[in-house]
Amino acid sequence: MNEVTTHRHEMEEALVALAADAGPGEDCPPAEEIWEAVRGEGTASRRRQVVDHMATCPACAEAWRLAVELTPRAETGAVRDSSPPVRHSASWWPAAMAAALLLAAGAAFLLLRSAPPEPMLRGGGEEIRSLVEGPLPRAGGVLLQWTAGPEGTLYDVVVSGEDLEVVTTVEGLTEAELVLTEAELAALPAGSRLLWRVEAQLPDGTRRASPTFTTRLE
Amino acid sequence: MAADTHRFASPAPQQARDWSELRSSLEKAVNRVCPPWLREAREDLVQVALVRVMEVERRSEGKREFSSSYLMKVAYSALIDEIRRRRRRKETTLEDDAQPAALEADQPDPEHQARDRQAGRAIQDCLAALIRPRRLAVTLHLRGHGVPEAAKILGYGAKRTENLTYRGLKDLRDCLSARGFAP
Repeated sequence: MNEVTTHRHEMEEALVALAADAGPGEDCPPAEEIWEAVRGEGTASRRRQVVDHMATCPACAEAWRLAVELTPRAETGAVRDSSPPVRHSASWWPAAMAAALLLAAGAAFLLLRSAPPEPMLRGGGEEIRSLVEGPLPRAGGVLLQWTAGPEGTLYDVVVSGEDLEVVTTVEGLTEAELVLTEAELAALPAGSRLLWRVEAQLPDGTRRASPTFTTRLE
Repeated sequence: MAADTHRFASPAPQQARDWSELRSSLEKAVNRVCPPWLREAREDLVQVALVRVMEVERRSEGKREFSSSYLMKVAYSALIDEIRRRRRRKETTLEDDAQPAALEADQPDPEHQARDRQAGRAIQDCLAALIRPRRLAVTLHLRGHGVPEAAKILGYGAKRTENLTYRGLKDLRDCLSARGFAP
Protein backbone atom coordinates (compact mmCIF):
# COMPACT_ATOMS: atom_id res chain seq x y z
CA MET A 1 0.00 0.00 0.00
CA ASN A 2 1.40 3.45 -0.88
CA GLU A 3 2.05 6.16 1.67
CA VAL A 4 -0.63 8.64 2.57
CA THR A 5 -0.53 11.43 0.05
CA THR A 6 -3.49 13.40 1.23
CA HIS A 7 -1.38 16.01 2.93
CA ARG A 8 -1.82 19.21 0.96
CA HIS A 9 1.83 20.15 0.88
CA GLU A 10 2.86 16.66 -0.16
CA MET A 11 0.14 16.49 -2.78
CA GLU A 12 1.33 19.80 -4.14
CA GLU A 13 4.87 18.43 -4.33
CA ALA A 14 3.60 15.36 -6.14
CA LEU A 15 1.80 17.56 -8.65
CA VAL A 16 4.87 19.79 -9.04
CA ALA A 17 6.93 16.69 -9.88
CA LEU A 18 4.74 16.17 -12.94
CA ALA A 19 5.67 19.57 -14.32
CA ALA A 20 9.25 18.46 -14.92
CA ASP A 21 8.22 16.46 -17.97
CA ALA A 22 5.17 18.43 -18.96
CA GLY A 23 4.98 20.38 -22.17
CA PRO A 24 2.46 23.08 -23.04
CA GLY A 25 -0.69 21.70 -24.65
CA GLU A 26 -2.68 23.03 -27.54
CA ASP A 27 -5.38 24.45 -25.32
CA CYS A 28 -3.22 26.12 -22.68
CA PRO A 29 -4.58 29.57 -21.94
CA PRO A 30 -2.48 32.67 -22.66
CA ALA A 31 -0.21 33.66 -19.80
CA GLU A 32 -2.21 36.87 -19.29
CA GLU A 33 -5.35 34.87 -18.50
CA ILE A 34 -3.56 32.84 -15.85
CA TRP A 35 -2.24 36.07 -14.35
CA GLU A 36 -5.69 37.63 -14.29
CA ALA A 37 -7.31 34.52 -12.83
CA VAL A 38 -4.86 34.43 -9.92
CA ARG A 39 -5.74 38.03 -9.15
CA GLY A 40 -9.48 37.51 -9.47
CA GLU A 41 -9.68 39.67 -12.58
CA GLY A 42 -11.61 38.99 -15.77
CA THR A 43 -14.90 37.10 -15.80
CA ALA A 44 -15.68 34.38 -13.27
CA SER A 45 -16.50 32.00 -16.11
CA ARG A 46 -13.08 32.48 -17.69
CA ARG A 47 -11.31 32.14 -14.35
CA ARG A 48 -13.06 28.82 -13.75
CA GLN A 49 -11.97 27.62 -17.18
CA VAL A 50 -8.38 28.49 -16.33
CA VAL A 51 -8.57 26.68 -12.99
CA ASP A 52 -10.23 23.67 -14.62
CA HIS A 53 -7.46 23.51 -17.19
CA MET A 54 -4.80 23.86 -14.52
CA ALA A 55 -6.24 20.85 -12.65
CA THR A 56 -4.88 18.50 -15.29
CA CYS A 57 -2.10 20.52 -16.93
CA PRO A 58 1.13 20.43 -14.87
CA ALA A 59 2.78 23.07 -17.04
CA CYS A 60 -0.06 25.54 -16.45
CA ALA A 61 -0.14 24.64 -12.78
CA GLU A 62 3.49 25.69 -12.67
CA ALA A 63 2.58 28.93 -14.45
CA TRP A 64 -0.13 29.44 -11.83
CA ARG A 65 2.40 29.01 -9.03
CA LEU A 66 4.65 31.61 -10.65
CA ALA A 67 1.77 34.06 -10.86
CA VAL A 68 0.95 33.48 -7.20
CA GLU A 69 4.59 34.07 -6.25
CA LEU A 70 4.61 37.34 -8.15
CA THR A 71 1.27 38.62 -6.84
CA PRO A 72 1.23 40.43 -3.51
CA ARG A 73 -1.27 38.85 -1.18
CA ALA A 74 -3.55 41.89 -1.01
CA GLU A 75 -4.08 41.80 -4.75
CA THR A 76 -5.50 38.29 -4.70
CA GLY A 77 -8.40 39.72 -2.72
CA ALA A 78 -7.75 37.40 0.21
CA VAL A 79 -10.25 38.28 2.91
CA ARG A 80 -7.77 37.57 5.65
CA ASP A 81 -5.77 40.67 4.74
CA SER A 82 -8.30 42.90 6.37
CA SER A 83 -10.32 40.54 8.53
CA PRO A 84 -9.52 39.21 11.97
CA PRO A 85 -8.13 35.69 12.04
CA VAL A 86 -10.69 33.11 10.99
CA ARG A 87 -11.18 30.32 13.44
CA HIS A 88 -12.87 27.12 12.32
CA SER A 89 -14.57 24.57 14.50
CA ALA A 90 -12.96 21.15 14.46
CA SER A 91 -15.86 19.64 12.49
CA TRP A 92 -15.17 21.86 9.45
CA TRP A 93 -11.66 20.61 8.78
CA PRO A 94 -11.65 17.79 6.22
CA ALA A 95 -10.80 14.45 7.75
CA ALA A 96 -8.20 14.06 5.02
CA MET A 97 -6.19 16.92 6.47
CA ALA A 98 -6.32 15.42 9.94
CA ALA A 99 -5.19 12.10 8.52
CA ALA A 100 -2.45 13.91 6.66
CA LEU A 101 -0.92 15.06 9.92
CA LEU A 102 -0.40 11.39 10.75
CA LEU A 103 2.09 11.00 7.95
CA ALA A 104 4.01 14.13 8.76
CA ALA A 105 3.99 13.44 12.49
CA GLY A 106 4.75 9.75 12.28
CA ALA A 107 8.47 10.35 12.55
CA ALA A 108 7.85 12.78 15.38
CA PHE A 109 6.29 10.04 17.52
CA LEU A 110 9.31 7.84 16.96
CA LEU A 111 11.65 10.68 17.80
CA LEU A 112 9.78 11.64 20.95
CA ARG A 113 9.77 8.14 22.30
CA SER A 114 13.54 8.04 22.19
CA ALA A 115 14.64 11.67 22.54
CA PRO A 116 13.74 14.73 24.59
CA PRO A 117 11.17 16.97 22.92
CA GLU A 118 12.64 19.74 20.86
CA PRO A 119 11.58 21.79 17.86
CA MET A 120 11.60 19.73 14.68
CA LEU A 121 14.00 21.06 12.11
CA ARG A 122 14.46 20.27 8.49
CA GLY A 123 17.52 21.38 6.52
CA GLY A 124 18.93 24.89 6.57
CA GLY A 125 17.32 27.98 5.15
CA GLU A 126 14.28 29.94 6.21
CA GLU A 127 12.58 27.25 8.22
CA ILE A 128 9.76 27.86 10.66
CA ARG A 129 10.75 26.52 14.05
CA SER A 130 8.73 25.91 17.16
CA LEU A 131 9.66 28.01 20.19
CA VAL A 132 7.66 25.86 22.55
CA GLU A 133 9.23 23.76 25.25
CA GLY A 134 6.81 21.32 26.79
CA PRO A 135 5.16 19.91 28.66
CA LEU A 136 2.80 22.85 28.94
CA PRO A 137 0.30 23.52 31.70
CA ARG A 138 -3.28 24.10 30.62
CA ALA A 139 -4.29 26.60 33.25
CA GLY A 140 -4.92 29.92 31.59
CA GLY A 141 -4.55 28.44 28.14
CA VAL A 142 -1.64 27.08 26.14
CA LEU A 143 0.59 29.43 24.19
CA LEU A 144 2.10 28.11 20.96
CA GLN A 145 4.88 30.21 19.47
CA TRP A 146 7.12 29.87 16.47
CA THR A 147 9.86 31.80 14.68
CA ALA A 148 8.42 34.89 13.08
CA GLY A 149 8.80 35.97 9.49
CA PRO A 150 9.29 39.55 8.29
CA GLU A 151 6.74 42.18 9.25
CA GLY A 152 3.53 41.65 7.36
CA THR A 153 3.70 37.86 7.41
CA LEU A 154 0.41 36.07 8.03
CA TYR A 155 0.11 32.62 9.57
CA ASP A 156 -2.34 29.73 9.31
CA VAL A 157 -2.19 27.10 12.03
CA VAL A 158 -3.76 23.65 12.35
CA VAL A 159 -3.77 21.96 15.76
CA SER A 160 -4.91 18.42 16.45
CA GLY A 161 -4.64 15.84 19.20
CA GLU A 162 -2.78 12.55 19.02
CA ASP A 163 -5.93 10.94 17.63
CA LEU A 164 -5.78 13.45 14.76
CA GLU A 165 -9.06 15.01 15.79
CA VAL A 166 -8.66 18.66 14.95
CA VAL A 167 -8.65 20.94 17.97
CA THR A 168 -8.69 24.16 16.02
CA THR A 169 -7.60 25.80 12.80
CA VAL A 170 -6.85 29.48 12.53
CA GLU A 171 -6.13 31.57 9.46
CA GLY A 172 -4.64 34.97 9.06
CA LEU A 173 -2.76 35.42 12.32
CA THR A 174 -0.56 38.49 12.30
CA GLU A 175 1.63 37.40 15.22
CA ALA A 176 3.73 34.25 15.44
CA GLU A 177 1.74 32.83 18.31
CA LEU A 178 -1.55 31.18 19.10
CA VAL A 179 -3.31 30.74 22.42
CA LEU A 180 -5.35 27.59 22.85
CA THR A 181 -8.05 28.04 25.45
CA GLU A 182 -8.78 25.61 28.23
CA ALA A 183 -12.14 24.97 26.63
CA GLU A 184 -10.51 23.92 23.37
CA LEU A 185 -8.21 21.55 25.24
CA ALA A 186 -10.81 20.15 27.59
CA ALA A 187 -11.35 16.96 25.59
CA LEU A 188 -7.66 16.08 25.56
CA PRO A 189 -6.44 13.73 28.30
CA ALA A 190 -3.62 14.71 30.61
CA GLY A 191 -0.20 14.00 29.21
CA SER A 192 -1.41 13.86 25.63
CA ARG A 193 0.38 15.55 22.75
CA LEU A 194 -0.67 18.32 20.46
CA LEU A 195 0.27 18.10 16.80
CA TRP A 196 0.46 21.48 15.17
CA ARG A 197 1.63 22.94 11.89
CA VAL A 198 2.18 26.48 10.66
CA GLU A 199 1.90 27.86 7.16
CA ALA A 200 3.28 31.36 6.65
CA GLN A 201 2.41 33.75 3.85
CA LEU A 202 5.27 36.22 3.49
CA PRO A 203 4.73 39.82 2.39
CA ASP A 204 6.20 39.07 -1.04
CA GLY A 205 3.52 36.44 -1.57
CA THR A 206 5.70 33.39 -1.05
CA ARG A 207 4.59 30.65 1.32
CA ARG A 208 6.47 28.57 3.86
CA ALA A 209 5.20 25.47 5.61
CA SER A 210 6.63 24.19 8.86
CA PRO A 211 7.14 20.59 9.83
CA THR A 212 4.48 19.19 12.15
CA PHE A 213 5.44 20.08 15.72
CA THR A 214 4.51 18.05 18.76
CA THR A 215 3.97 19.52 22.20
CA ARG A 216 3.00 17.59 25.29
CA LEU A 217 0.34 18.84 27.66
CA GLU A 218 0.59 18.40 31.39
CA MET B 1 18.62 61.96 -31.63
CA ALA B 2 15.79 64.22 -30.54
CA ALA B 3 13.65 61.18 -29.75
CA ASP B 4 16.46 59.65 -27.68
CA THR B 5 16.97 62.93 -25.83
CA HIS B 6 13.23 63.10 -25.14
CA ARG B 7 13.23 59.53 -23.89
CA PHE B 8 15.97 60.12 -21.39
CA ALA B 9 14.46 63.40 -20.30
CA SER B 10 11.91 61.38 -18.28
CA PRO B 11 12.84 60.54 -14.68
CA ALA B 12 15.52 57.93 -15.38
CA PRO B 13 16.53 57.30 -11.71
CA GLN B 14 12.95 56.25 -10.84
CA GLN B 15 12.82 53.94 -13.85
CA ALA B 16 16.19 52.44 -12.83
CA ARG B 17 14.79 51.62 -9.38
CA ASP B 18 11.75 49.97 -10.94
CA TRP B 19 13.91 47.66 -13.03
CA SER B 20 15.92 46.72 -9.96
CA GLU B 21 12.81 45.90 -7.94
CA LEU B 22 11.21 44.13 -10.85
CA ARG B 23 14.33 42.10 -11.47
CA SER B 24 14.53 41.18 -7.79
CA SER B 25 10.88 40.02 -7.71
CA LEU B 26 11.30 37.99 -10.87
CA GLU B 27 14.48 36.38 -9.62
CA LYS B 28 12.88 35.34 -6.34
CA ALA B 29 9.82 33.90 -8.05
CA VAL B 30 11.83 32.05 -10.68
CA ASN B 31 14.20 30.67 -8.03
CA ARG B 32 11.27 29.28 -6.08
CA VAL B 33 9.30 27.85 -8.96
CA CYS B 34 11.84 27.05 -11.66
CA PRO B 35 11.89 23.32 -12.42
CA PRO B 36 15.25 21.54 -12.10
CA TRP B 37 15.78 21.23 -15.83
CA LEU B 38 15.55 25.01 -16.20
CA ARG B 39 17.79 25.91 -13.25
CA GLU B 40 20.74 26.86 -15.41
CA ALA B 41 18.51 29.09 -17.52
CA ARG B 42 17.13 31.14 -14.64
CA GLU B 43 19.19 34.21 -15.48
CA ASP B 44 18.14 33.96 -19.13
CA LEU B 45 14.48 33.67 -18.17
CA VAL B 46 14.60 36.78 -16.04
CA GLN B 47 16.55 38.65 -18.69
CA VAL B 48 14.04 37.76 -21.42
CA ALA B 49 11.21 39.02 -19.24
CA LEU B 50 12.99 42.28 -18.47
CA VAL B 51 13.84 42.87 -22.11
CA ARG B 52 10.17 42.56 -23.03
CA VAL B 53 9.18 45.02 -20.33
CA MET B 54 11.80 47.49 -21.44
CA GLU B 55 10.67 47.08 -25.03
CA VAL B 56 7.11 47.98 -24.04
CA GLU B 57 8.39 51.02 -22.25
CA ARG B 58 10.62 51.99 -25.15
CA ARG B 59 7.77 51.73 -27.66
CA SER B 60 5.75 54.17 -25.63
CA GLU B 61 8.69 56.59 -26.00
CA GLY B 62 8.29 57.65 -22.42
CA LYS B 63 4.87 59.13 -23.12
CA ARG B 64 3.06 56.66 -20.93
CA GLU B 65 3.66 55.78 -17.34
CA PHE B 66 3.19 52.13 -16.52
CA SER B 67 2.03 50.87 -13.17
CA SER B 68 4.26 48.39 -11.42
CA SER B 69 1.50 45.78 -11.62
CA TYR B 70 1.27 46.22 -15.38
CA LEU B 71 5.02 45.85 -15.73
CA MET B 72 4.91 42.74 -13.61
CA LYS B 73 2.16 41.30 -15.81
CA VAL B 74 4.23 41.93 -18.94
CA ALA B 75 7.27 40.35 -17.31
CA TYR B 76 5.24 37.36 -16.18
CA SER B 77 3.81 36.80 -19.66
CA ALA B 78 7.28 36.95 -21.16
CA LEU B 79 8.53 34.50 -18.57
CA ILE B 80 5.78 31.98 -19.25
CA ASP B 81 6.12 32.33 -23.00
CA GLU B 82 9.85 31.67 -22.71
CA ILE B 83 9.34 28.65 -20.44
CA ARG B 84 6.77 27.25 -22.86
CA ARG B 85 9.10 27.83 -25.78
CA ARG B 86 11.89 25.97 -23.99
CA ARG B 87 9.55 23.12 -23.06
CA ARG B 88 8.55 22.68 -26.69
CA ARG B 89 12.19 22.77 -27.68
CA LYS B 90 13.05 20.19 -24.99
CA GLU B 91 10.38 17.90 -26.33
CA THR B 92 11.38 18.12 -29.98
CA THR B 93 15.18 18.35 -30.01
CA LEU B 94 18.08 16.35 -28.68
CA GLU B 95 20.38 19.33 -28.19
CA ASP B 96 22.61 19.14 -25.14
CA ASP B 97 21.31 22.35 -23.64
CA ALA B 98 17.72 21.07 -23.88
CA GLN B 99 18.50 18.10 -21.67
CA PRO B 100 17.41 18.13 -18.04
CA ALA B 101 19.96 19.65 -15.72
CA ALA B 102 22.20 17.26 -13.84
CA LEU B 103 20.83 16.12 -10.51
CA GLU B 104 21.89 18.60 -7.83
CA ALA B 105 22.83 17.66 -4.32
CA ASP B 106 19.69 19.12 -2.82
CA GLN B 107 17.30 17.45 -5.28
CA PRO B 108 15.26 14.35 -4.45
CA ASP B 109 16.81 11.13 -5.67
CA PRO B 110 15.35 9.58 -8.84
CA GLU B 111 13.41 7.00 -6.89
CA HIS B 112 11.80 9.70 -4.80
CA GLN B 113 11.04 11.69 -7.94
CA ALA B 114 9.48 8.66 -9.57
CA ARG B 115 7.27 8.08 -6.53
CA ASP B 116 6.26 11.72 -6.56
CA ARG B 117 5.36 11.53 -10.23
CA GLN B 118 3.34 8.38 -9.67
CA ALA B 119 1.46 10.04 -6.85
CA GLY B 120 1.06 13.18 -8.93
CA ARG B 121 -0.51 11.24 -11.79
CA ALA B 122 -2.89 9.51 -9.42
CA ILE B 123 -3.92 12.84 -7.90
CA GLN B 124 -4.36 14.34 -11.35
CA ASP B 125 -6.49 11.42 -12.55
CA CYS B 126 -8.63 11.59 -9.44
CA LEU B 127 -9.05 15.35 -9.83
CA ALA B 128 -10.26 14.82 -13.39
CA ALA B 129 -12.88 12.40 -12.08
CA LEU B 130 -14.39 14.89 -9.63
CA ILE B 131 -17.51 16.79 -10.58
CA ARG B 132 -16.44 20.16 -11.92
CA PRO B 133 -17.31 22.51 -9.06
CA ARG B 134 -15.54 20.26 -6.55
CA ARG B 135 -12.59 19.86 -8.88
CA LEU B 136 -12.21 23.63 -9.11
CA ALA B 137 -12.35 24.12 -5.34
CA VAL B 138 -9.96 21.26 -4.59
CA THR B 139 -7.52 22.36 -7.29
CA LEU B 140 -7.24 25.78 -5.69
CA HIS B 141 -6.97 24.21 -2.25
CA LEU B 142 -4.07 22.06 -3.43
CA ARG B 143 -2.43 25.18 -4.84
CA GLY B 144 -2.44 26.68 -1.36
CA HIS B 145 -5.44 29.00 -1.64
CA GLY B 146 -7.63 29.45 1.39
CA VAL B 147 -11.42 29.45 1.16
CA PRO B 148 -11.81 33.25 0.80
CA GLU B 149 -9.24 33.42 -2.00
CA ALA B 150 -10.74 30.43 -3.80
CA ALA B 151 -14.23 31.88 -3.47
CA LYS B 152 -13.08 35.13 -5.04
CA ILE B 153 -11.29 33.40 -7.90
CA LEU B 154 -14.19 31.08 -8.65
CA GLY B 155 -16.90 33.67 -8.14
CA TYR B 156 -18.69 31.43 -5.64
CA GLY B 157 -19.88 32.26 -2.15
CA ALA B 158 -17.55 31.42 0.70
CA LYS B 159 -19.88 28.86 2.22
CA ARG B 160 -20.37 27.10 -1.08
CA THR B 161 -16.62 27.07 -1.70
CA GLU B 162 -16.02 25.65 1.74
CA ASN B 163 -18.52 22.83 1.14
CA LEU B 164 -17.11 22.09 -2.30
CA THR B 165 -13.61 21.89 -0.86
CA TYR B 166 -14.65 19.62 1.97
CA ARG B 167 -16.66 17.25 -0.21
CA GLY B 168 -14.14 17.37 -3.01
CA LEU B 169 -11.27 16.43 -0.72
CA LYS B 170 -13.30 13.50 0.55
CA ASP B 171 -13.96 12.37 -3.00
CA LEU B 172 -10.27 12.80 -3.78
CA ARG B 173 -9.25 10.77 -0.75
CA ASP B 174 -11.69 7.98 -1.64
CA CYS B 175 -10.39 7.91 -5.20
CA LEU B 176 -6.77 7.81 -4.07
CA SER B 177 -7.60 5.03 -1.61
CA ALA B 178 -9.16 3.00 -4.39
CA ARG B 179 -5.92 3.39 -6.34
CA GLY B 180 -3.79 2.27 -3.45
CA PHE B 181 -2.76 5.67 -2.11
CA ALA B 182 -4.15 5.35 1.38
CA PRO B 183 -2.91 4.87 4.94
